[in-house]
Amino acid sequence: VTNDLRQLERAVDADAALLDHLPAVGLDDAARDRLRRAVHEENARCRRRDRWLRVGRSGLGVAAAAVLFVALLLSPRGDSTAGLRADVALDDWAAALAESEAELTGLLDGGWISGYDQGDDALDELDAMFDSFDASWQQFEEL
Amino acid sequence: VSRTSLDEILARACRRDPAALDQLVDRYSPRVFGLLYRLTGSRDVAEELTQETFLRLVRTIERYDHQGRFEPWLFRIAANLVRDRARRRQRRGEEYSLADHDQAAGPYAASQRDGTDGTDGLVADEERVQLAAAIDALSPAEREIILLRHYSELSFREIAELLEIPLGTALARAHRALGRLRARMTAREEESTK
Repeated sequence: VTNDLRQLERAVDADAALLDHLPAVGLDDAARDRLRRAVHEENARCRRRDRWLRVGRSGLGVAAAAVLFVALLLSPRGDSTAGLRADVALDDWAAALAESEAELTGLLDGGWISGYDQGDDALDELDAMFDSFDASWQQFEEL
Repeated sequence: VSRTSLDEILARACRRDPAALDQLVDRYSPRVFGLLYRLTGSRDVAEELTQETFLRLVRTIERYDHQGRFEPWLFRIAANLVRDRARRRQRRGEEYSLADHDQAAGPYAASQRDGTDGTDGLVADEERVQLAAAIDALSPAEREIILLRHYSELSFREIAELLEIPLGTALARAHRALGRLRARMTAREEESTK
């Protein structure tokens, strides 16, 4: 059966040479320019998404470390089960951090998921969200 | 595009180098558009879907593991967009097909209607135009499989997976489509020589 399929595939590919005579169709210059522009805009949007993902992950890591540090400070000294509880707490913390990162990634990626169906409005909202992030970040840096 | 050259372009595109993305657009958009145009029968729809194909490329390029399979990956995105569009139309109660244009809206009919055949300003010779018309006359299922094979570098196994049909069915359908195409072209030649 496999040999039969291979033979058929070779025969089909030989016949398909007929399609080489198909008239070429292509984008006109204006359409090509629109495509390039859209690609550049999306690329810029992705750069912003990537930057905010990095910032968000760093922020989550710092916050989670702070919470863990406070929890360890507050744990009763001399308690024989404290070490075990700390291990469990560390596991829970790591799991929560991973989940937070996944949610952050999902939040930032989410703007793209249905963008095609929802048209430019969804992308405008996404750009507005990034603008808001950038403005907040700038204010934070100026503090 | 040589393998090394493409690897280098893709690596730069992963780093979000706009010039590398321009190179990918320049190299691949004509074939992507060609496939989408012949599948949908509409320049506007094909343009829209070509753009969406490249936007999806931009969104996912950093997660893409190249390994020499870039073209199948790109054309799979394009073909899936056509399928998604067909499914949306189906949900709205319109007839389902991957290549969901009707005969009257096919590329040949469109070229007659708007006075252009999209061949970069050149007038296609009679045989080429007849071939395009003969492809329009195939069933949507036949048309889609031979066009996918022609424009993309998808293997028949990959095309079968994409269309969710057995490999044997995909090959038999392509074989039948090309046979019908050749028969139509031969018949036209005989008519024209009478």
